[in-house]
Amino acid sequence: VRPQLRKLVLTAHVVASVGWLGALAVFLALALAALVADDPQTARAAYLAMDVATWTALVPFAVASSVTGVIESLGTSWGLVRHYWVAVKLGLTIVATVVLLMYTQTIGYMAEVAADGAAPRSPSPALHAGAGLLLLLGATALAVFKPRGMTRYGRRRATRRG
Amino acid sequence: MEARRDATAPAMPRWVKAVIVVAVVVVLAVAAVVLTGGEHGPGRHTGAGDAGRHAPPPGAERDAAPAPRHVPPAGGHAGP
Repeated sequence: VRPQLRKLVLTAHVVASVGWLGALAVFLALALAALVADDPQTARAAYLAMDVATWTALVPFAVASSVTGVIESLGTSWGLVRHYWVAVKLGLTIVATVVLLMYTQTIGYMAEVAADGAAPRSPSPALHAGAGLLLLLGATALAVFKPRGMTRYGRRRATRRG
Repeated sequence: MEARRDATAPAMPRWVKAVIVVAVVVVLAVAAVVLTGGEHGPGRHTGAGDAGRHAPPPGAERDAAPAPRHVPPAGGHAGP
């Protein structure tokens, strides 16, 4: 892969990942506001905003981060499953994306309830957002520290090429 | 030859083992919550049909005045 193209994909991956983290932080703030706000209207507004944020920021950034991450890995010598840190980071990203996509149903339902005039007052969005933030921070740490360790496949491949 | 190379290969790093242990604990915790009838999962807030979808969950707090601009879907809230 040409260096310029690789840097373009890397830039897209970093932007999408940073956007995902930021969107999730905002989602957590809304979830906490919905949980503790004294005013029911504020809580309802927060549930409606969470639904909008899910579809306009969280899901697009999550999918973009996952796709660009896979492309970036396959286009470099890191590979997708040659190094433990890449494989674990891929696993964290897939888990976070799948849980997010499944959770869109719950958020949609809560937004419907809020639109009908009730505030669900559920701790579930805050718990899911908190767990998601931990996963994404773990993935970010892996990308920065790149801890050593090659998988069996990675070692075999390196031996064949070496 | 392959077997000898595998035998001398470095073991899985400790941090990977730690990640696996944490992942297993989390999966078991979620499974325990689900199996003991706890409230978890994407289907938790959605009933089998639309008939129950608009029932606010336990703890829901209703406004004194309903949302002024909400228009119920055509045919009410009963689903197919």
